Parts: sequence; C-alpha cells; structure tokens
Amino acid sequence: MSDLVLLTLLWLIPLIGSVAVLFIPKSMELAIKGVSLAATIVTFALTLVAFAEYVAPNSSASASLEARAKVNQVKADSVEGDADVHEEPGAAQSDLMVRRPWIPYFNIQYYLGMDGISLSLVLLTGLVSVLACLASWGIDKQVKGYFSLFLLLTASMMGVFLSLDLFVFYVFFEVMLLPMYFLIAVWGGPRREYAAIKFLLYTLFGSVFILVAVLILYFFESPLTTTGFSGHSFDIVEMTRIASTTGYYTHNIQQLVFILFFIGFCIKLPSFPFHTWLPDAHVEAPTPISMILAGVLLKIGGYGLIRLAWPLAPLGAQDWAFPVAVVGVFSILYGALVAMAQTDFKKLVAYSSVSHMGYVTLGMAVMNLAGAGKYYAYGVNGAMYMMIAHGITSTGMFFLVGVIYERAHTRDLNKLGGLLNIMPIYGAVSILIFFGSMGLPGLCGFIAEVFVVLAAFNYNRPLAILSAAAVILTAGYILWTLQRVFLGKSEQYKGLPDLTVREKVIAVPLVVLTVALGVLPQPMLLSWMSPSVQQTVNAVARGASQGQTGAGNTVASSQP
Amino acid sequence: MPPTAAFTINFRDFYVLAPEIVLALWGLVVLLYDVGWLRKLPNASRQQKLGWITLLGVFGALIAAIHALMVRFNLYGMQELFNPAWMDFDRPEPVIFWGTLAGDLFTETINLFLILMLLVAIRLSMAWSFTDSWGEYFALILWSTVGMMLLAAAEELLTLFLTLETMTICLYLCTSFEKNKRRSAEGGLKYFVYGSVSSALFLFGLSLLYGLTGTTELYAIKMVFTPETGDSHIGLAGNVSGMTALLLMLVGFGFKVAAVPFHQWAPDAYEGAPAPVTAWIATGSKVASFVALMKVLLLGLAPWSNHMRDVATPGWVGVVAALAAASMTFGNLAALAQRNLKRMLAYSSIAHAGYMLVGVAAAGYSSRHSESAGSVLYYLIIYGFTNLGAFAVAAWLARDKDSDDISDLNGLGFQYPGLAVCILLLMLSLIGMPPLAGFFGKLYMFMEALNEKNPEGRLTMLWLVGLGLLNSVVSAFYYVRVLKAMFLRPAEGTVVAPAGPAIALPIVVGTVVALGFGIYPAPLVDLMKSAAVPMLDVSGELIGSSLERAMWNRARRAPTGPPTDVKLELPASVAPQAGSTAPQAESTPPPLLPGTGKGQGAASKKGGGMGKGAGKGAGALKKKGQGKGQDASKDAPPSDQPKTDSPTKDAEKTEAPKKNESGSDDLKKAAPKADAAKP
Amino acid sequence: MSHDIPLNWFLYFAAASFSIGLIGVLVRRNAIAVLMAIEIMLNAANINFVAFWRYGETPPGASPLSGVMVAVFVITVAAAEVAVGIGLILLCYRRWHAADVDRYDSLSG
Repeated sequence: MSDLVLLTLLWLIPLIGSVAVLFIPKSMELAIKGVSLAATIVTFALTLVAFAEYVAPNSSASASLEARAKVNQVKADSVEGDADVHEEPGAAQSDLMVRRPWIPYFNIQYYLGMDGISLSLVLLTGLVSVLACLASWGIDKQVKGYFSLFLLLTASMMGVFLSLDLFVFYVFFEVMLLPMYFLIAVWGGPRREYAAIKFLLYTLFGSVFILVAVLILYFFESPLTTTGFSGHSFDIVEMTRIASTTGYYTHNIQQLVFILFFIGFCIKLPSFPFHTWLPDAHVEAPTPISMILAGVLLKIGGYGLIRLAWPLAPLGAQDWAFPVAVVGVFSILYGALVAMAQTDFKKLVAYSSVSHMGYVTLGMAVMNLAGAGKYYAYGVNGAMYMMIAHGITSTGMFFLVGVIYERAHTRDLNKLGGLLNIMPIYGAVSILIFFGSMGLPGLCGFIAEVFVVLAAFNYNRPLAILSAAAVILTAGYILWTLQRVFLGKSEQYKGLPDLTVREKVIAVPLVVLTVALGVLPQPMLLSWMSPSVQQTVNAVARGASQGQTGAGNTVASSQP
Repeated sequence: MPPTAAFTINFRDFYVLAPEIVLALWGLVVLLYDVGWLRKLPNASRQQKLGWITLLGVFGALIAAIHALMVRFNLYGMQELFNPAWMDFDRPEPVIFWGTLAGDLFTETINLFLILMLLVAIRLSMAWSFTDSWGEYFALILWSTVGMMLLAAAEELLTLFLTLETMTICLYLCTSFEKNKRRSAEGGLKYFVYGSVSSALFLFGLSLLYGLTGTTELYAIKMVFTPETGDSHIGLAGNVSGMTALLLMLVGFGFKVAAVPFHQWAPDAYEGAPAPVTAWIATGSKVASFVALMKVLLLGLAPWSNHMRDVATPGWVGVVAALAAASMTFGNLAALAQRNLKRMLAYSSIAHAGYMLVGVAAAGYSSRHSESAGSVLYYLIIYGFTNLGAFAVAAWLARDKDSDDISDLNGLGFQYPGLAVCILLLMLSLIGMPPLAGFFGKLYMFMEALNEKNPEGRLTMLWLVGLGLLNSVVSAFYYVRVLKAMFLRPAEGTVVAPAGPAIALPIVVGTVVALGFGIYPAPLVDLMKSAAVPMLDVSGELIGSSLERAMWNRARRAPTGPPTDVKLELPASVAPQAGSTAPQAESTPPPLLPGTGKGQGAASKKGGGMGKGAGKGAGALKKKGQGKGQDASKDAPPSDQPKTDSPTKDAEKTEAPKKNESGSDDLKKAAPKADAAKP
Repeated sequence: MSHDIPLNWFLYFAAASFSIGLIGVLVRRNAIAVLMAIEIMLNAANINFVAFWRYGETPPGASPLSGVMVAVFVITVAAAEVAVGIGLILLCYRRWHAADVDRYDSLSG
C-alpha cells in the first residue's frame, strides 16, 4: 500500500464513516453502530499495517524523519503535473511519509508521516477508538449524531498525530474541538453545557497561543542569513533541523515561541494552572468520551510538547526548563492531593490524570544535557511511556467507572462498597488497572515513573525526591479508593450483574497491555520508539547547545 | 483620451458596463410590469411573479458579467468562442468613460460576485410577504446593486460619491419597507440620518482634497502627492489640511463600513430592516464600501499612508489600525450581550469589519499592497456569502415566528438536521474554525499583514493580529450560542415550518462556499490576487492625459515654475516641461488652498480630535500673508506641495489683479480648446 | 471677476457653515431640523468646491468645470436625499405622532 493511500486512509476512513453514518436512516440504530465500529476497526487495522511496515526489518520507514524528508522532496516546479511529484524510495518500499503541495502560495503542504513517537500514539488512538466505540453501544439518544461526531473526532485525532506540516496540524487540532464540544454538550451529564463551553473556550484560547507561535516561526527572518533558510515554511521536520543545527532562530524568539507553545499545549495536557476544564469535562462527558478524552486527547498536548515546543525552540526550552519542571512536579503533587479529596469517582480519576500528566511535563523538562543527553533521553522516554501507559490505564479507569455508574447509578465513593464480592471479574480488572495506574512494579505505570524520576534525579535532586514521593500520594488515593469501592460488604448493590461479554471484550486488551507493557517494556514499545525519541533528544540537545557554542551565530536578537 | 476631447463616446464603454445597464433598466421593467400587469393580483402571488421576473434580469446581468470576464480577460481560454472578430471586445480597457470608471479584471470580478450575492438576496426576499410594494422593492434592490457595482468601479471621487449615494439612498428606503413594523421605519430613519451625515462629512473631506490637488481622479491625486524621488509613503506630517481631509473621509467611510466608533447605526438598521434587506446591507453594501475604501486609501491617498513606514507615525495607517482594533474588540464584546439574532449578527459584522481593516492597514503599510488587498477581497467574498446564509436564518425566524431571537432557534437541529448542519458550518466559518473558508480567509489576511520585510511596524501588526485571533475566540462564545440553541435545547412553542427553497438557498450556498473555499482556497486566492493588482493600479495604459496632468501638478508643487504671466502664453500641453525646466523663480502658480490656514478652519470644528493640528493652524492663520508662506514651508516638508501661498502670489494679487485674473481665465478656456484640437 | 475676496474667506465661511450643520445634527432633536442641518453640511462642501474651482487652476486635460460639476451633482443628490428623508420622517411621524428623534426608541441595545 503506498504511503499516500495508507496515511490518508488513516484519517479518511473515520471521516468517511462519519459522513456515511448520516445517511443511514434513524431507525436502523444497529446499522449505525455497526458501520461506526467497522470504521474504527478498519482504522485500527490500518494502524497495525503501518506498525508492521515500521518495525519490519530493513524498513526504510524506520529512518529518521529528516532522512526520509530528504527522499520525499516536493518539487516546487512540478506542482501542476501530478505524475512524479515526489520520489518514492523504491516501488516496493514504503517509508510512511507523504508530501504533496496543498496551498503552494503559502508553502503549505499536505505532509503526513510517522516516526516512533507518532506511531505509538496512532496505535493508541486506533485502539482506544475501537474500545470507546464498543463502550458507546449503550448510547440511545441521537444515535446518528453521536456516532458521526465520534468518528469525526477519531479522524481529527489521527490527523493531528500524522501531520508534519504545522498548518495541517493546526487544522486537525481545531477540527477536534467541535465534535468534542457537542459530544459533551449533548450526551453529557447535568452540567454538560457549562463543561462543554469551558472546554471549548479553554482550548480555543490555547490554540490562539499555538497559532501565534506558528505565525512567528513562519514569518521570523533571522539576522543569520547563511543557513539558506528564510522562514516561510510550515514544515515541522525542516524547522526542527534548522532549529537544532543552526542559530537561525534567535534566543529571544525561541523563548517567546516556547512559552507560547507551552501555554497552548499545557491547556490541552492539562497542566496545573490550566487544568480546571478537565474535571468538569470528564465528570460531564459520557463514558466513551471520557475514555477518548483521557486516553487520547490529553496526549495531544504531550505530543505537541514533544514534537513542537521542545524541538522547535530548544534554546527557549532550556531557559525555561526549571520552571517547567517545577510546574510538572507541582501538577503531580497537586493532582494527587486533590484526587485524594474527591468523593466523585470520575472526578478522582480526572485529577489522577492531571497528576500523571505532570510526569509528562517533568520528563520533558529535565534537560540534563550532559553526556549527549543520555539522562534526558530517559526523561523523554519516560514521558512518552507515561503517555502510552496512561492512555491505557486511564481509558480503562474511565471505562470501569462508567460500568459501575451504569449499574449503580452513582459515582459517590462513600456510597459504593463491597463490589469485589458482588462483581468479582469487574473487581479483579479494576484492581489490576488501578494498580497499573498507581505504578506498581510489573505494570505499565511503573516503567514510566521510574524513567522520569531517574532523569529528574540527574537534573535536580529535590524535584526528583518530590516526584518520587508523589508515588506515595498516588498509592494513597488509589488504595483508599479501592478500599472504599471494592472491599467491605454491601447489601445495597447485591445482585448487580458482572461484566457482560461486550465489556469483557473491552477490558481484555486493556488488561493485557497493562501487564505486557509493565513486564516487557523493551519489545513492546521501547525497541522501536526509543530511536525516534533519541533523535528528538539529540536534536533538542544540539539546538540547545547552539546557545553556548554558537554564541557568535546568534546575533543579538530582534523582534519578529 | 482627454476627457475634453470633443466628448467622443466610445461605445465599447457601454459594453463594459453591460451588467450595470441591464440591472438599471431591469429595475424600470420590474416597476412597469408591477404597475401595468400585476396590480390586481393578491400580494403573495404578485411577489412571486415579480421576484422571478427580477431574477430573470439578474440572470441577464450575470451572463453579461461572465461573458465579459471570459471574453475580456480570457478566463478559461474562452475568448475565441465568444468574441467574434467584428466585436473586438477583447482588449481590456483599464478605464472607461474618460477615466471615471474602471473596466478591468477587478471590477468584472467584483461585479460577478455582487451579482451572485444579489441573486441569493433576491431569492431570499421571496421567502415571505413583508410588504406590499413589491415593484418598488425589487427595483430599489436592483438599483442599489447598480450603485454598488459602480462604486466598486469608480476611479474618480465625484463618481464615487454619486454611486455611494445611489447605493445608500436605495438602501435607506429598502430598510423601512416592512410596513407593519415600527422598528422598520425607525431603523430606516436612523440609517438615513447617520448615512447622510457621514456622506456630508465625506463630501467635505473630498472638497478639501479637491482643493489640495485640483482634480478628483484617484490616480491623478496619487501622482500629485507622490514625490518624484524617495519614499512614496510620505505620510502627513504637518499637513493639517490634508489631515483634516483624510480624517473626514475616513469618518465617512467608517460609517459606511460600520467601524467603531461610527457603528451606532448598524445594529439599529440591521435589526429594523426586513431580514433580506439586512442581508443585503450587511453583505453587498459592505463589500462595495470596503472596495471603495481600499481604492481611495490605497490608490488615491497611498502617499499619505504613513511616514517612515511605521504604523504609529502620521498617516492613515495608524488611524485605520486603531479603528480596526476598536472595531474588533467592541464588536465582539457587544455581540456577547445580544439576545436578538439580527443584532448579534450586526455586532459581529462590525467585528468582521475590524478584521478587514487590519488587512487594509497592512496593505497600506506593507510594500506588497496588492497581495494584502487581495487577501481583504478574499475575506470580503467569503464574509459576504457566509453572512447571507446567516441572515437567511434570521429571515426564516421572521417568516415563521415573527421574531428573531436566538432562543427562537431552539430545537431546530432536531427538526431540520440537514439545514442545521449547514448553519453550524456557517457559524463555524464566521468564528474562523478550520478547515472552513472563514478560517483560511482570516489567516490569509493576517499572514499577509505579517508578511512584510520592514521590521518597524511589524510588531504593531503582530499585536493587531494577536488581538484579532483573541477576538476570534471571544466571537466563538456568541456564535456557539446559536449552535447551542439549535442542538442543545428542546423546541418550545411554535416551530418553524420547512425552510423552502427561498431560505434554504442562501444557507446552502453559504455553506458550499465556506466548505469549498476552505478546503481548496487556491483558485479564489489566485483570482483575488490578480484582481487586486488592477484595483490598485489603474495606470496600466492609463490615459496619457491623467499622467500628464499629474506631472503638471507635481511641477507646480516644486519651488519652480514661471510666474503666472509667463504661463498665459504657454499652451497647456507644454506646461509639464515648463515646470521641469525652470527651477529658478521662487514663485509658484496660484495655490488652491493656503495650506495650514485652511486646515485650521476645517480643524476647528473637529474639536479635540484635531487639537494639535488646529493649534498649529491657528498660529498660521493669525500671521496670514508672508507669515503663512513661511509657516507652510516650515511644517510641510515633503507633502504639503502645491499649497504654499507664496509671497509673490500675494504681491501679484494686490498689484495686478485684473491682469492676472483675465490671464488665468484665458488659460482655463484655452486648455480645453487646445486639447480638443489635438486629436 | 476678481480675487477681491480672498479664497480664505470662502473657506472660512464653508467651514463655519459646515460646523453649524454638524452641531445642528448633534444638537437638534427635531427630525426636520436634523434634515436641514444635513443640507447645510452638504452645501458647505459645495461652497468649497466652487471656491476651489474659481480660484484654482485647472490642470491641462482636466475638465475645466470639475468643481462646478461636483457642486451641481451634489445639489441633485441633496435633493434626492431630502426627498427620501422627508419620506422616512413622515413614515415615522405616522407611527409615533412625533417628529422628535428621541422618541424613536424601539431599537436599542
């Protein structure tokens, strides 16, 4: 399958599904659900195809993005003729990258591609959307609209992870908002409208920051003219190369751009000062949407940081590393403490997301660049691992909360109790996944936390100690929750049915992955993801060293 | 071809104006048909019949416009097909009717889009019976369109003023056509009062400009103000009379495009007018006014854009930037408070005017005028079509519920999901959400604003763009309210009937435009970019005379030129050389305007706004005569050209007035004769 | 036929009457008075045009009468405006039985 077809289908199939669903008569609910499930399953299958191509031995897809971008040049002069717009590396070989001119006037390309970082998140998206689609089976209000929006959301999330052009990235990023808004506002809980508009406005404000940063990068013209690069590009790969190897982007500009990107993606992540929309959105959103929100949407913030904020502004990142790390640690502690105080099961899980996402921020920020960024690579690997692990465990947690809410019609931790006896399978799955989230050794969360704390230890001891100590808080609120919900005896809930087959189908992959990622980190994820992380880390390290070594290069900064 | 050259009429000019002529005549046809054949019919069927007849005429104009585009500009290689050899229409003439109107790619493009919008607006008018004078109504709409099309084509200030009045007077009347509503009459009167005051202000500014330059042609005005060497953006430093003229004209245009602080009429007129008329005021009239604004500012007054190429120095760029910031912010904040759909859209259209003014300011300050202007045109077209759709929603409510609150939309999404999704897309496009055209238009304009090499002022532009982006977020809040009503609220009370083709058409057309040009903007971008070039540069093969005149004016400005007596003997056509060859004498030809002195007179009524200039001007006034000459020369470094009331001149005035007078009279009379004799 | 009266005087006069008109529009509450004030403003501009034309010099090739032409057209436009204005005022008068612009207040916000 050629790259163009494969990468395009990854976002196009959910989109086609989303339109197709609209043309199915309202009465045929099963057909609507079937078509949606088929669309998500096909998408997931395609992500697996891409994965297979990526990890295949001698695959040209596993080369660095930069190397592949050189092969896939867009020929400006052959914009009109579509015959041979770019050179494929070889007829049989696919390298998971497409480049086509889209709006040549602004040098905007239809530029998609995957490396280990985005591939892992694309896989996660594919999986979570299948699971969430299964979990949506119980939706009975406005079925058509729901599944249409759901598939639109899937399409845009895929697009965000795939795009290597800032304009395309931004378009997908924004398209995501609308289905999310409606999914919360129509199918949500009692305060759904408030939560939805809060989500919308927060994210819109965030995207303004991102857009301004993008425009600054696009229009910035450096006093340094020897690079042969003159801005006016949305090409992420090329800009990363420029930022890491030349002093094209001056120090001040990088600081500005970094701050803008950081604020923009922090809102999405969410990190401490901008997190308030998250508990509201989670509490009000229907279960499958919570799963998507926690499992994938939050990762877009992290992905933005790792793909844009750090590589495009390494100097700025280095300057701001310590404050950012402090924000990360604070998020971890704050999230955990607030989670402990919750009585609403869903809100608790939501705050635990804030806490876990703090590890992502921290992992990115611990920029100890000594020794070619060896320790920093731990941090970034940890951040990525945390995103995947959290994507799996939090999806599972929200799913499990949804299951109990459906049966007991309450999420109040003080009212629930004794469920382990009543629903043994449910209880077992819950305990495993909650432990995975807590970071119990042998489960997925542990690996991530260890990596991040290790990197932090080599960066700043007090921060590392604080972040390690947070594990106690996490254990505290999770164990306490498990105790309240599952242990003890409860007459009230006697007779609640255990997991149905559909629910088991959802739970199994999550459980398997939670264990597998904890036991076999290397073959499961790191072996193919780390090289890409290492490339990013190298780029950031090289870019950050431009500040010291290339002092002559970076001419006194100027405003945009 | 000098205008006075025996007034030979080139009949090809009429061909260029074919769409306008068709529409103007068709208005009469509609009126006559109404009076002659339809008097007896019941109101509704009369409306339908007349509507279709009107549409027929609009189709005729559409065909004329398309034909012109294809033949004269060889779009899609259709030239051979439609252009028989004997017609010889293929030569694009930059100006027609002695330079009063443009007939270039730009005007034809704008004509095409205006006619398309008119088509939609007329179809929308057939949705329900809000009046019983249908003949008059349709005729007035047609004539207002003629005004708009000619306004977009005007290359000369008198024509511009006349067409502006044609457009607005028709629209004042249309506004008060909803007979059974109090607010319609009130909206019309308010629109009239604000509109005619703004016209008067504009006219007074225009008169000063005429005094400063001696001509009303935009291109000639530009040539007069442009120094022969150096920066062509000389700004207005010290030129009080120029500043007054400029500010007055800006106030006039500010009213027309509804920019803060001259926006007060817009919400009232929009709310009061019947929805189809509101749609037409908000789109057609705005498009035409913006085009005229850009022409006057970017063509005629380009030399006054700013000094030093920085935004904050005297010149209109700073003023326009301030208007833009105020309009964006105020429009959006005020829209937040609205519960009435039409009023909300009115405030939002004020905000959109603000965004577009950012583009205008950028076009003025950047060295890439036409690209920036092209981005504003792109935005205008997208804005026009999406807003037509948005006001069609208001028409729908007005038809079925006789009210147009946002809450009247409750439950629409469940009842008519198809159209509701279209409305959703329209609103998203108005917010500026990708991948819709509203987003691309905004981004395109903002990117052009930042796309300027000159570092000074770029920061200001960045702030302006940042403000614009933040404002888009604010605007999301109230547009989402519409979506909320449609999709999140249950229907209550009476529900609206099916839309019917009249109301569905604008909504669907708007959606198609928003979606189509959002995903694939390239064709429209290219068209607008190439259309903006002739808009800002009529010169092409411009009438030699205009250039000649401009040179003459420029020569007068220089501290050269022979004494007036000498001039008498010179045939008019020699004058340019005279100016350039005789750099000896101190005297200049009689000034039209004693620079600063006049400025004071005009400035005084502007009160505080002009305080600084007025003070300076007042000083000059007291000193009259000799003093004035010095004053003017002192504070008018590059720009205050022909106005220096030179001592020599004063002396002449007192010593030999008779002779001088008769002389210049002779000159006046000689000039046309000489010219007439030439060809 | 002379420059006995300097151009300035005309311009002061025009500016003064323009100011009177503007103040009239802002201050007067009677709709008819407002309409008259607008007329004064338009005519002030006319005075400017004619004065500039009379004292100015016509560039070669330009219409020798441009200032006067503008004035003539403006007079025509003013007439049209008055006709429309009176019509609208009458319309409002019939609804409110008042010609006081402050009374027309069904629209606000």
